[in-house]
Amino acid sequence: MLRTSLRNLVAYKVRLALTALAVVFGVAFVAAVLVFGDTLKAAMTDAALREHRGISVDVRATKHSVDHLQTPPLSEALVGKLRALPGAASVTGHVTGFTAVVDRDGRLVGKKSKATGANALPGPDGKDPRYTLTAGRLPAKAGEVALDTRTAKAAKYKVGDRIRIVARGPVLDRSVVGVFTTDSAAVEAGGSLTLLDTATAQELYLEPGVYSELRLHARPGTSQEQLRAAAAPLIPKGAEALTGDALRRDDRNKVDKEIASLRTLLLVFAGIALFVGSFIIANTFSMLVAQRTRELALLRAIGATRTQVTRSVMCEALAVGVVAGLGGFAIGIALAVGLRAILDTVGADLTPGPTVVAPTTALLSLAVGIGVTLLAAWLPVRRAAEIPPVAALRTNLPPTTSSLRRRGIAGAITMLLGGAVLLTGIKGSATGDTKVFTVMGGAGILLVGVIVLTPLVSGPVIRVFGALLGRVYPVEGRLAYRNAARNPRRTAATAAALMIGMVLVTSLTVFSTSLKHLVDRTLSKGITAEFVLSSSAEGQALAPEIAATVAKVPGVTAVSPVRTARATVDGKEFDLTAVDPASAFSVLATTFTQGGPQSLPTGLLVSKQTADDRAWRVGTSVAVTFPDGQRTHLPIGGIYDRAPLLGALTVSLGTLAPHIDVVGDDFLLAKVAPRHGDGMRDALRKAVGNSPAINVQTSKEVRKDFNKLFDIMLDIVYGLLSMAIVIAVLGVVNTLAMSVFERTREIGMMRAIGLDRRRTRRVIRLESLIISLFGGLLGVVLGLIAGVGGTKGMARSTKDLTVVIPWDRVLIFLILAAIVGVLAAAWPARRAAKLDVLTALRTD
Amino acid sequence: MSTSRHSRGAAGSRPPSGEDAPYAAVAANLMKVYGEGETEVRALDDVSVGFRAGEFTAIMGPSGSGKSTLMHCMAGLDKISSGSVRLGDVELASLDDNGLTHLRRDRLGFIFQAFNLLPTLTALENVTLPLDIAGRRVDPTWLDTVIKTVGLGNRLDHRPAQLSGGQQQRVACARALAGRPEIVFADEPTGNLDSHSGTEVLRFLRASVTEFGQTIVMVTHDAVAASYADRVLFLADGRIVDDMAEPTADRVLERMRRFNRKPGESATALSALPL
Repeated sequence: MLRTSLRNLVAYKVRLALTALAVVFGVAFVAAVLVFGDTLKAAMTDAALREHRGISVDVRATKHSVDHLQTPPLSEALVGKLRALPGAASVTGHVTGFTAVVDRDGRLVGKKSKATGANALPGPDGKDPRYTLTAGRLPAKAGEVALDTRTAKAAKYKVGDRIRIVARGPVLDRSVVGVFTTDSAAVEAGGSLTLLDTATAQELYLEPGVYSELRLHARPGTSQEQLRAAAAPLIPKGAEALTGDALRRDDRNKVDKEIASLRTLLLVFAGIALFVGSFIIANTFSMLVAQRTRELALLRAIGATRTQVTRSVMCEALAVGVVAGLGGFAIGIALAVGLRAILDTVGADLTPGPTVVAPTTALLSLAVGIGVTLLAAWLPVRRAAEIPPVAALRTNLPPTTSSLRRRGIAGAITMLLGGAVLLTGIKGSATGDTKVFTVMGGAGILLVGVIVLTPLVSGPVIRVFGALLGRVYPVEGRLAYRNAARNPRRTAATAAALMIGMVLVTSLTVFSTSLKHLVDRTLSKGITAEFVLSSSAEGQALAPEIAATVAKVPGVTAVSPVRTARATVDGKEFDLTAVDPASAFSVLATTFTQGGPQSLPTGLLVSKQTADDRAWRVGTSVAVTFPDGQRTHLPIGGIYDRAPLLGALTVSLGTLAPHIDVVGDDFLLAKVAPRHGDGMRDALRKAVGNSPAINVQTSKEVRKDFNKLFDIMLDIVYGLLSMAIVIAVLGVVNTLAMSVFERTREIGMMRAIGLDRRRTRRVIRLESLIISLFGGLLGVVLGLIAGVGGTKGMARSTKDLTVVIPWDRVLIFLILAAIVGVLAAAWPARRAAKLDVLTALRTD
Repeated sequence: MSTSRHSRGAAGSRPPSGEDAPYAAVAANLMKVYGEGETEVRALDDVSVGFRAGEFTAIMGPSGSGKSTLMHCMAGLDKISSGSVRLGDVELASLDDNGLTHLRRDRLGFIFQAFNLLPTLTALENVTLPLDIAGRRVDPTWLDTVIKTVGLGNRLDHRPAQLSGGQQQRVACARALAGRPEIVFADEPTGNLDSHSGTEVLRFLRASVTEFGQTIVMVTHDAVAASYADRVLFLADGRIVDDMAEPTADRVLERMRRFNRKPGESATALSALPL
């Protein structure tokens, strides 16, 4: 029996190769994600460990303290005390923060998010062992900096040059006193490292005499743990001491977590690709079994048991799975390497490091390849075993007439179940993740139900297509549509593979477009300020003095900074927005359902949703625990219904100020007097010292930026889903090739009685078009339903979210489906047209 | 039955056929060679033959004699190696694939051993398929006549799978005739049928020649089937070895039997033929 399997593999090699390809792509996706993740993880872990090598004990601010914008309690005095510990060989104080270098054209050098500044720690010999100077010396006083070689080279700066750097505040003039090489993670990831003298760094990032981190090196004979235990009693509240090992473990975990979330996201898309691929496998094996009915029956007739027949076909599936697993693994590695290369050329600057191919990746690829193939082949193979031996003797094989009724019932029940879950999700009381998962789960079950039902739907839909095509091409259209309708299961399974991709693309497009419009509308209605100032480096706050500077610009009538902090209110942690009560409501259009902004200076404003959730009303006094741990009670003075940029809770800057140390503004909103419109931007830019680290944008530009963000996200999703579409195309190719193969004699006959090559090709192409458009249309319709449903579901919790259907895109998706159809038909149609008439007529 | 003559009809009432009728198709010095050098096989070796309009010709011969190849070459389904094939005034060798396809579509009809109906089309749709492909209007009176003659009246909406083999072949016959082709080529039309259905099909073919003046060229290895024809051509080793007019099943059988003799005997037998 094994020999039969092997012979069949050879006989059907093209078809099986095509089928294997469907799984190969899915497996390659998985393997690429794993390799890419492992490589990036190894590189990032390596970089992080390098940064922290040799540290025996690390003292740093606790996460809580950092989150709550508190200055780390690591003073010069503490350094002294730690130095006095008998086990400590050395204690160094480190200060790091955001600093970017401005090039001669006024732009920031390198990746803004990785632009770092740190204090140099020259030893007695004037050198810092972490950095190797290639020119000059380390900065010793204010006004001096040293640059890493990459940055210096990129900006063409050398020792002695006067350059400009930016931290949170205004642009600073400095002179380069040294250039050094470093293997710091930030620089390797495309950022920059600017070394400053300690006092300047403290002044820029924290406050004089304060460090962000202390590193202890133990004397020989003192273990990390001993030193940590000795240091622990000296560590003030808000800071923690951990051994170097624990620190490095923490580094590892951080990288792991970061990679894991990226990997999970990517694996979801790989899973979709595999799911689509499994349809192709199932379909191909159904076709192979159907095609070989007589042969399999013959095996049964001459004495093969059911198990043997099943095993024989399963062996083929296994071989396909192994090929797919190995092929996918190999292509996956290539994909991962290629992806890195592409990301590097577009300037993503991932941390460099060798490609890591873990043995588990190989095993997992193989397991996924085999698993998916066997699973998908199982049902059709079982059908093979049910072929009675007598089928071998029948000349005219009856068409598979097994009723679709059972399928219809199963599909309907699944759909009802999915619909019920979906409705529960949308209408139900669940919130947050539970709601999202319920809605998504419901949609998923609904989709499975639809997939089960597609063969039943295919008839009428295809008939309509056939009628339409028949108007243009009466003969070819009819032949094509009758063929598509001949085996509804096959047509449906082929179309379903395309449908899945289309559903996701369409629904996510509807959802994303609706969200985009919501944000756009909210911003355009809600912000009455003409200009918005923010840091151009993501996540960086603006120094508070900038607000003061901007306020002094002639023509500016109001400036309101917006800050955020975390606080515990009434037992729950919230993001607290702090605004200037004097100016906030002249730059933000806010609608109050209850109360008003008058009480803001001393009170609390809450969003309607939060108020409803917590059953708060104007006048309610709530307990607030501020970032620094102080508790107080604040009265609720107003409830706002629509307020962009304001979160759940809003307080005045004054209320928050005493409780935070690290003061920075997320952004500034500036309203300017009419007639100052033109030239105002230049005035504002000039006021902030033309700092490239500060964006001065009109509110329209801010909206455009947000729109772009949505577009980029959607484009990434399209890219990730394209694999599923490509696999679906393979499925269409496969089905058509099979159809051409099975109908060789029919095609020969049609050629004999006068159908020329061009029109023969057209018959196949039209059949392909029908299948693809069926899949595309079904996908788009379901995608619209899912997208609209999802958006509406979310609209219940997000005020003002209305469904926006991008019809132009929907049309593009349908055109895309048609293009898929034409492309997929290219090869099978050529084969059909090339058939030798006589040979074709002689085929069984 | 096997010895009886089939109603070819009186010579006078027959549409033009015989010596005076024009040739519907003519092959001259037709060569068909497969392979090269050592492996060269001459499927057709210098065959010259004409098929008169309104004549029913059967081509017979042992396996590998080239009878099917001759038909395929005459019908523009196969390329010839040398010589000429003319259909009416058209030289087939001058046509490319599209030209041949359109020629088959517009001027020829085909009946195959394996029926070759499209399972997705109804009987009627199968019948009109060649006309549909050609974009020609169906002549309802003619279609009616054809359908009546083959006796399909109440089965026109059936799919091939719902028809018996004989019925399917009758659909195929109707399909071949629906476009009033100049010649119908039939390749073993009764090969897949029981004798009853086979007889029906042969009667129908005979009738179409007698009543409508249809020209038919039929390849067969069945002497009874051949006896329905006006003329039987015998092929052996790629050459025409005999040409029998007014055949009966017995005469055809007798002629065929001579092919089955041993090579030495057949050589003498062949040399005795008046070629």
